[in-house]
Amino acid sequence: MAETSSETAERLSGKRARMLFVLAAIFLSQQASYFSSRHDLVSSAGHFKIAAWVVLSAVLLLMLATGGAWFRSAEVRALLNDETTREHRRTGFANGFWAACLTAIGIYVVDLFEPVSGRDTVHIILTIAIAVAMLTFARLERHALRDG
Amino acid sequence: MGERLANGLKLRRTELGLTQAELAERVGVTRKTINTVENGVFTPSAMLAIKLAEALSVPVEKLFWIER
Repeated sequence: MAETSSETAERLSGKRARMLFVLAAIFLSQQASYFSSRHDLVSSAGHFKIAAWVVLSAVLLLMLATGGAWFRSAEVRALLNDETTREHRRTGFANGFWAACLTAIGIYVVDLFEPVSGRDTVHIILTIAIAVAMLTFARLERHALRDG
Repeated sequence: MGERLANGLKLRRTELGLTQAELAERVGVTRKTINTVENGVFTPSAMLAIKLAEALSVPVEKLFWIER
């Protein structure tokens, strides 16, 4: 029997939540590599690392903002972005915003004792904001998908 | 004291012999949304509340009420 749009959206919704956890783990582990060799960012390997981070950040932000499933039908995408999902996304972005503000305050304080470069500051704030938004969204989606 | 929007969604849905997925299909949302509304985790918009009431053939004020 063919899958209905609702069933497809339900399946993709679960897959998206699982994928966001995995992508968040990849994204955060990528930072370990960046900070372990951040003094060597002028080489082509360093440029590659920065480019990979920028691209992944942009893709994750786009995925968060649109809900993903870009190649699915309009009906499935509408179901994938229904009322609950939009609410979860708003909460994710709000938490990401607060995480970014708190991180910025933290860096400001640290910078009083040890200088932090502009690039590192942007890198840390953006990474934490995206990771917190993703993890909040994924956690809320997983929780909502559990059987009542 | 806090107020919350309570609902009789699950009761009415089971009375009609509908699954969460079937009700979701009727109102054009995912089962996840029905699940969160039933559990009181998510407060639906006025639009969704009316759609749910229509789908379950019950006045909206019988389906949702404020609990104090």
